[in-house]
Order: sequence, then structure tokens, then C-alpha cells
Amino acid sequence: MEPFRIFDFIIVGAGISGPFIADELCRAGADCLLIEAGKKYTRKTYPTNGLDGNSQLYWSGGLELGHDCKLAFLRPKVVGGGSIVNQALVDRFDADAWNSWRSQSGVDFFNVEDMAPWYDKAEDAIEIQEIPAKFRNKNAEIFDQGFKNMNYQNAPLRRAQSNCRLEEGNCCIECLNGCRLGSKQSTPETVLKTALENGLTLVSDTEVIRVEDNKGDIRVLGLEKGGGEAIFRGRHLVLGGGAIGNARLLLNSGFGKELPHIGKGFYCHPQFMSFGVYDEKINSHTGAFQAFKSDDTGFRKEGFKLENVYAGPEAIALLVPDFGLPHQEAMEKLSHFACIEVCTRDTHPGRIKVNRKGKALIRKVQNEEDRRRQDKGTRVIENIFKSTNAREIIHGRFGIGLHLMGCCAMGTDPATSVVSPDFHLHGHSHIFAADSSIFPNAPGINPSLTIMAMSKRAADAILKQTNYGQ
Amino acid sequence: MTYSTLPVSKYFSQAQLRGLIKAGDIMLPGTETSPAFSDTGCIDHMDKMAAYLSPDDLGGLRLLLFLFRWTPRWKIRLIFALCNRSGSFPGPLGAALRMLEIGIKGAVFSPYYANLTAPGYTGKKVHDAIDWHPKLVLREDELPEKAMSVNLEDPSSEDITAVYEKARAAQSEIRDWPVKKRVEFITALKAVILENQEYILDRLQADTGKSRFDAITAEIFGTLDFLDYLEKNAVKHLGDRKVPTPLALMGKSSKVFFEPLGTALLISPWNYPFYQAIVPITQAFIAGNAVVFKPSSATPLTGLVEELLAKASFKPGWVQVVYGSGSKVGDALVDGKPDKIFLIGSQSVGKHIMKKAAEHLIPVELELGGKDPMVVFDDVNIDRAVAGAVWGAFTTTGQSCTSVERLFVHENIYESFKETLIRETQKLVQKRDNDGSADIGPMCTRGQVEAIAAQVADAKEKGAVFLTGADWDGDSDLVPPMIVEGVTPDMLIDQEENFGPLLPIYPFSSESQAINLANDPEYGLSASVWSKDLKRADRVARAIYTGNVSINNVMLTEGNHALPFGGVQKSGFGRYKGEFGFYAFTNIKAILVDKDSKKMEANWFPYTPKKYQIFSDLTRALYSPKSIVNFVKFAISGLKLESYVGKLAKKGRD
Ligand SMILES: Cc1cc2nc3c(=O)[nH]c(=O)nc-3n(C[C@H](O)[C@H](O)[C@H](O)COP(=O)(O)OP(=O)(O)OC[C@H]3O[C@@H](n4cnc5c(N)ncnc54)[C@H](O)[C@@H]3O)c2cc1C
Repeated sequence: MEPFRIFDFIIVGAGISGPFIADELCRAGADCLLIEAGKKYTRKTYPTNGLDGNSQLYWSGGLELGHDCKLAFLRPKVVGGGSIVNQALVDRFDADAWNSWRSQSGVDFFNVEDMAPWYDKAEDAIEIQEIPAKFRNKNAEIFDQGFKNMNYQNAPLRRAQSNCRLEEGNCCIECLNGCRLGSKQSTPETVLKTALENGLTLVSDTEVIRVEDNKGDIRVLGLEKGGGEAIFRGRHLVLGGGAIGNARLLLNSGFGKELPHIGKGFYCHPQFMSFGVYDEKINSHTGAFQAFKSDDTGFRKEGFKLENVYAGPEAIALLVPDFGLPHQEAMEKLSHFACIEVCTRDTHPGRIKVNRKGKALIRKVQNEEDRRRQDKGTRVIENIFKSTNAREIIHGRFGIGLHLMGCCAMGTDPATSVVSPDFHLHGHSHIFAADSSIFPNAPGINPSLTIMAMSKRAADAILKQTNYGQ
Repeated sequence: MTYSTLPVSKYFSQAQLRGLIKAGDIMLPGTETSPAFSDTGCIDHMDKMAAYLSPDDLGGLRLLLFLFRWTPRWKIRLIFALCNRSGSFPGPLGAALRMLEIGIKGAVFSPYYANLTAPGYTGKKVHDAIDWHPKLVLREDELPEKAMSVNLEDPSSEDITAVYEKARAAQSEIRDWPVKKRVEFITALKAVILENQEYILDRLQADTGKSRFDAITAEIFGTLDFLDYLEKNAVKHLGDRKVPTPLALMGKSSKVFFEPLGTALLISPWNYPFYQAIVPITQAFIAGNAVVFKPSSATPLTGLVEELLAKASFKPGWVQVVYGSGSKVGDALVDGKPDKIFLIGSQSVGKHIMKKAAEHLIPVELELGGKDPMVVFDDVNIDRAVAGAVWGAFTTTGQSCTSVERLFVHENIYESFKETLIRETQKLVQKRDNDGSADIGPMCTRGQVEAIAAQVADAKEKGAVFLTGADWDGDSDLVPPMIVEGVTPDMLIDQEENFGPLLPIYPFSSESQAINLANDPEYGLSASVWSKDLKRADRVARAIYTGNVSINNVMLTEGNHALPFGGVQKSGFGRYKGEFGFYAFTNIKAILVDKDSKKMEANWFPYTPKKYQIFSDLTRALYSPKSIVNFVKFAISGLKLESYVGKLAKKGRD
């Protein structure tokens, strides 16, 4: 970086929100710098085994544990963030999600109509496909059959993908370490690409450890991979580090006193996988390994949804109980496993704090209501497996949090929120955020499409407030 | 197969690895279908995971593994049983058990279920045991960067740029590693070569035609021996070194760092295509350089080096093999501006490359040909000296740069030596073999056959006498060993290096004459001196102007990898192998460490007459002959200088 260079915008975090906003800002002619802690991979350099995937694409080498070690969190750290490693399921929020956000936050535009055009714009930026029926694998068929048996409603999934060439026998599970086919609509394949074409400066392998706001003179301190420090200067700052990333950065930068809500209101849609073991081979890992989601009004009311999912053997091995021979014999039947997960819409917020070394500490418990939601869903899964003649049912050892949300909630009241409806930090007109951290509560729906839509809306608001490209 | 050797790890001690093996085998004891944890050797890959753990998590894991090392198995089982029931334990205890469960499962299951194994593992793969076979059909342009070979018949500048960009990117990964970590790859490579020995020999014979015995001794044994040397000595020679700091610089310390240069371009010839590939590649790699390697287009061993390196877990960009014709590709690679060029080859190629390199001021090291003399005095055991001469002249069909090319024999034993030499040479078995039964094989390239034929025709025409091999038709690639007498300075065979089984023999009558004859006006690679009188041998060895001399043996300095190798005059310059070889590819960096303080240095500004006077007293005291008086004088002026400099700093010039 040239000394004394001052960017119009410094964006921290190249996950989903960061690149979506950067793309718009660059298009408007602003001089932008995007800083990402993770590494930049290409289709040819993504890790090709589970060990490398977990250690190289996530913070802390894979899993982070909550304080009571009951939930494990997966926090992406790579250029592209969650869009590299996620399942790429894209859903719009329903009225229920928006209503609960609106009543919690007091933000008016949290409603289906106001957000619809922004969803349209987000969907225009990526390709979205439904998995054709003929490519559903056996795991999906069991899911579907079980739903029919029990009279529940399900729906085919919409995925952000362009061409998985499933007819050639490709297995999308391989793409959880980065899609080597370039089909998954990750930000490096989409908006980040155009942003770079429009002059974006991307600095990867650099973790932002402190930000300072001197009213229009933003200073960002980065820690490079080799251990060196780097200083960046800008006129405005956009935070796109995700729920934990933003909270940690703001707390480490001393914003906690002024904005006491930072770190509070952490949600994660705790997910619990269960496996049905069948006599015949299911080969859940083959083909488009996810094809259905639950679409049942009853489930929505009860606060959970079911997903037809799967994971790599390293992850499943962690969930399968026991050690020694019983474990190994169970794993040898892996190809006979079907898998369904309950994803709960958590009501009880957790909290992110930082310790003296600046490390994020995650405090997140499931209260009685959240456990009830989990149990309800788990019972339904058991019924589905039973109704489809599973011989045995295995429940995962612990829950996983991958939809990390909140900690910098948007709201009208600075006492109970962090980000204003204009997308800037309360009291800091030069610092913005529109990523998963601004979620006021758990919507119970896959978050990424909404992050894209909010980012589009935020970019528009930011450009208006800062008078760029007008 | 039980994997019993533990890897060298950057993050875990041997005790911790043993703890991991122990816990791993309790967790994954192996069944009829699945291998046990330790069987797979997946433990080799622990560092890849550890590198990304947070310091806290890594510390916790290391402690846990260390404890497992010294905990009886039944207790570990008990702990695991408790983990299974963590739900029934209250708050912190339950949390601790869950943390332990996830921690140890992560450490054991990740490498195991990621299907990773030790190099050379032949047992059942874990993904086969659990029937995990997700498919991904990649198009040509989507293939991961696995293949390290680049075939550039007619390279464009973009191709070359891509090669160097890849090398530079890859080098950033290995440059900061401790030497120990790079040694792990040398160890792995050694194992891979050993395991694939027969396959390598097949490939070598197919490309070079050399006898299988020549191939195994020079190329396999030699290579392994070199890797062994690296394994045992790299850390010693490439580790940071402290050097003394003189009294005048009291309070400071001095060190030397041995750092890589960057990307090394290595160009190798066709005569020892395997040895001359692996040795320079690993010599450059061990110092932390990325390598661009160009084998001879006559003996490319296409894909072999990459395949073996990949098996030893070398990553694609660390070493790239670029194929193609020397004139086109070699030039283009030099223009790609490597940080160092290392060439083993002929004089003409050496000159050409050096000229090109000069344009970019790239340092070069050249190992060129020789016209190596063998000097035999009259006090030797003739049978042994003859056997040495026959081997030295004809091994690998005379196609070594250090082959004996001129044999000088003392006149007192000349006739009997010659007779024995002819007899022994005629006993050599020459054919194409695949079982070790041939002494020598055919020539490697048609070009060499033609070059030898020209030298032979010229010598015959000018009156040289062929004592053996006179009936060679000048065409067959089974060029017979030829002992030639009566060679005169006007013959090509006397002027040019010969890369074939041609051995001119000359008599001499005095030590000084032998030295004069042995000292070639152009070349200076190796020589050998044979005499019972070791004092004489030592004298002659010093007087001969070459890079290497064997006494009472032939071509043997190369047999000890602790010795350097290289030539003088037109045989090239620079040394590789041995301690000095480590420096061929290093930036030897001087470091002087002083502390941050208020203190000013005496030699900094301002200069004043008073300071001048004290400094001059100090210089005189320090460098006059050592005595107590002088030392006291030095100490006094030292103190004076320091206090005066301190005063100047505070108050300025007086
Ligand atoms: C395995 C998995 C599967 C998922 N599946 C789905 C799905 O199917 N559908 C769906 O909608 N959602 C899914 N999600 C969730 C979704 O991916 C995330 O909600 C989304 O990526 C969040 O976007 P973001 O931009 O807020 O943050 P992220 O995508 O998490 O990006 C944040 C980026 O900021 C970087 N960063 C953080 N702090 C710093 C710092 N201090 N300095 C520099 N860089 C920093 C991080 O390294 C990261 O790359 C999944 C998540 C996971 C992990």
C-alpha cells in the first residue's frame, strides 16, 4: 500500500456483505479497499481434503466452542467468507421474520414490500437454480417420502449455483471446501470479480485488529500473516466481518462503552444433525446432496425447520457418538446413513465478549424454549426415519452454529441496538455495517440472500449519505 | 503395514506424537474393514492442521497429548467413557469433558477421515473402508494445480512469466520455515526413492541406455547418499550462526542468517539425469528456494521427478519441471530472471547462459566439463591402478564429466601397465541389460556417437594407434572402449573434451613433467594421483590446478557428499555439495544487533578535535602489541570517549 494513501472506503471482511457493498461503491467510482483476514483461493487452489478445508478456510483451524462446549461454531475465514463454504441455499424472509425484526428494532423498512426490490437486485447479481427432480439423491428421497408419510409440507431448494453439471455425476458435497467447478455463486465468482474489475483494492491474509474513527479520518490497523502490522487510512469504514468478527473488532477497538449493545443479541440457528441408518446403501454424499427444505407452517410456528443435508466424514465422525470399535463400526456404515437436521430459530440471545488477548469468547446457551424447539424437531426427524424403515437412529453429539447473526443489531434506539436504520453505527456517521451482525434476532430462515439484499440497500444508503458518484 | 516411525513435527514433540498415536489407536483401533489410526500414517499430516490452530487451542492439544503419552491405556479409556456421559456432569466439569472430546476427536479424526496417509502407504484407504467416493468431473482447465510439469516446446513470454510467478508464490510458503521442516520433505523423498528404486531404474535405462549397475550405483545410491547427507547436516549448516563481536563494539551482538535467494533455475545434462536432477533440486530447496528445473531434452525422464516429489508431498510450485529444447527454453527461462542459475553442462552452453545472465546480473554457478588426468607413478600396485583406470575411463560408457580422459603413466612401468590395461579392458561386457549383467551399455545420444566418431576418424588419420576397439564401425551406439596411444596435440581427441569411452595413454619421466602434462591449459575439474608415496601424492595433488583430486582412487571425491564439488578455469566455478554447497543457494546475511537506547556512537557526528585525540589514543592502544599497559590505556580512552560522547550528546559541541 502506498504510504499516505487515503481510500474513500475501507471495507473489513470479504465475506458476503463486504464484496456486495464494495461492488456497488466501486461501480459508483469510489476508491475502495477491502481487507480480509483469510486467504484468496482460486478454483484451482481450494483445499481438496477435509483436513485442509477445515483448517484453512475457518477461524481457529475449524471449530470454535461456546463457553459450555455444547455448541460448536463454524466461522469462515477466506476471501469469499461464508459464500465459499456454505451450502448456498438462498431464501427470502417471510412476513413473520420481517415482523419480528420490525417489532424488535423499530425499523420501518423491515417488511416484505420494502425489501422486495432489494431482493430482486440481489437475485440479479447471482444465478439461482432449483435442483431438478431427476438429480435428487436417495437421502432426498427419504426426506420427501418421510414428509409425505407424515403429511408435512416440503419444498424444493433454491441454490446459488450456475452449472454443477450433475449429469456428469458431480457431487456438490465436494464444494463445501470451495467449489472447484466455479458453479457456486460465491462472491469471488460474482460481485467481488466485478468490484475488482472496477478498481477495488483487495488485501487478503490481513486481519484488522483495531479501527479508529477520528470523524472522517478512519485508521485501520491490520495484522499481516507474517506477523507485521499495517496501517490503512480511509474516509469511511464498512464493517463486513460477520457477527463475531464485527463484535470482536469493535470491542477490541473500545467502542463497547459508547455502544453497550455490541456483542449482545447473538443468534446462530443451532442445528442438530440426526442420522437414520438403513439396510440399503443411501450414499447421501452423492450428487446434489441437498434438494429439499421443510415448508411446513406448523414447523414455522413451532420455531424450527428441517433440512435435508449432509457433511464430510471428518464432520460426521465428530458427531457420531462413542470411541473405539463401536465408533468405527458405525462409521463403516456411513454409506447407509441418511441425514436430516433440525435448525432451530433460537429465541434466547447469546453474547460475544473479548478477553484480554482480544480473543472472542462465545457465550450462548439454549434456554428451555430453544431446547423445546430442538426436541420437537428431533421427534419429527425420528418419525420420518421410522416411517421410512430406518433400522437405527443416531443423534449427533452436539449442535452446530453456522448462521452466526447479531451482536451489532440494527435498531432505532442506541441503548438497545448498534447500527441505525441508515446503516451507520449510532453516533458514527462514517462507520457502516450491513452484514449478518446487524440481524436483530433469529429469522429462522437461511440468512445469506437477505445479507445480500441488505448490503445492496446499504450501499445505496451509504452512497447517498456520503455523496459519492452522484 | 504398521507405521512405526514418527514424523518430525514443527508443533509436536515426539512424546506428544506418541500420545496421539496411543489415543488414536484407542479411538480407531482398526477393524477387518478399516485400518487402525497408526497404520495409515495420517499422523504425518498433523502439522498442516496445527499450523492453523490458535495458540491457546494448540497449547491445550499439546498438553493433552503429552498427558496421554504417560497415562495408562485403561485410564484413557475411562476418560473417554466419561466424555460419552458429559451430559450428566454439571457445568464446568461437563464443559471440560466436552472440550476434551471435541479436541481429541478433531485431532484424530480429521487426518484419518480426510483419507490422508504416510507416503508409500499401501494398506486400505479410509475412504474405501467407509465407501466415501464423491465424484467431481473436472475439465482440463479446472484441474487443481497438481501437475508440476510444464511442457514448453515453444514458450511464450507469458508461459515463462507464469512459471516464475508460481515459483515466487510457492516460495513465500517455504522461505520462512525452519530448516528442520524442509528436512522432513527430504526424509520423505528418500523413502519414496527407495521404494520406487526398480521403477526409477527402468525409466533411467529407457532414457539413457546405461547399464543397470551404473545406474544403481551412481544414480540411486549416489542420490540417496546425498539426501542422507542433507538430512544429517542441513540444520547445522543453514541454522542461524553467532559470530564474535569485537571489543570495540561492546554491548552489541552479531549473527549470520542463511536465507534463500528466491527462485533457482537449474539446468542439468543428460549423462546422470536422475542424480543431476534430485541433487541440485534438493540442494536449492533445502535452503528455502523454489526451483525451476530444466532437464536435458535428450533424457527428460518425463514426469518422473514430479511424480516422486509429489509422492513425497512437495507442493506443485516448490519445484517445477520445464521441458523443452535447451536453446529455446533455456534462454527463455534465463530471461524470466531467476535469482540464481545453476548449470551442469558443456562449456559452450555455460558461456551462452552466462552471457545471457550477465544482461540481468543474475549470479550463475557453472559445473562444466573436464579433461581429467590420471597420473600413475612407478611405485603403485599395477593391477589396482589399472582397474581404477578402466573404471574411471569407461564407467557410464565414458560419459561422465569426471571420466579419466588422459592417462599419464611413469615410463618405468609404462609397458606392463599398458599390457594389463588392454587385457582388462577387453574383459568388459558391453551390451544392453536389465539385470545388472553388463559392465557398460550403449551411448546415450546419437549426437555423442557422432562426436566420438569424428574424434576417432581424425585421430586415426593423424596416426594414433588404437590398442582396443579399433574395429568400431563409427556408427553403432555400442561404442567400444578404446585405448589410444600416440596422441599428438594436433588431434581433436587431445584438444576437445570427449564424452565417450576414449582413453589416450601417455608416458612421463619426472614428477614435474607429469604435473605439467596434467595441468590442462583449459580445463580443471578433477584429477587422480596414484603413488605409494603419500607425500609425493600430496605434493602433486596440490600442484594440479583442478577443483577435485582423488589420491590412489578415481572419481571418488564425488563419493563423499561432505566434500564440495566444482571446477576451475573452463570447467566452471562455484561449489555445490558438502558444507560449501549449502551456500550456493543462500543469501548469507549479516546481522548486527544493538539495543535501542539514548547512547550515541563515538564515530557518529559531531566530530571535534578532542574526540579526534581520544579516538586516536584508543586506536593506538587497541592495535599495538598486546600488553597490560596497552589494555589499561585502551580501557581509559574507551571510558573517556564514552563520557565525552555522552556529554556531547547532552550539551552539543563545546
Ligand atoms: C458450512 C456453512 C453452511 C452454510 N449454509 C448456508 C446456506 O445454505 N444458506 C445460507 O443462507 N447461509 C448459510 N450459511 C451462513 C452464511 O454463509 C453466513 O450467514 C454468511 O456468510 C454471513 O455473511 P457475512 O458477510 O455477514 O459474513 P461472512 O461470510 O462470515 O464473512 C466475514 C468475513 O470477514 C472476515 N473477517 C472477520 N473479521 C475480520 C477482521 N477483523 N479482519 C479481516 N477480516 C475479517 C472473515 O474472515 C470472513 O471472511 C452457512 C454457513 C456455513 C459456515
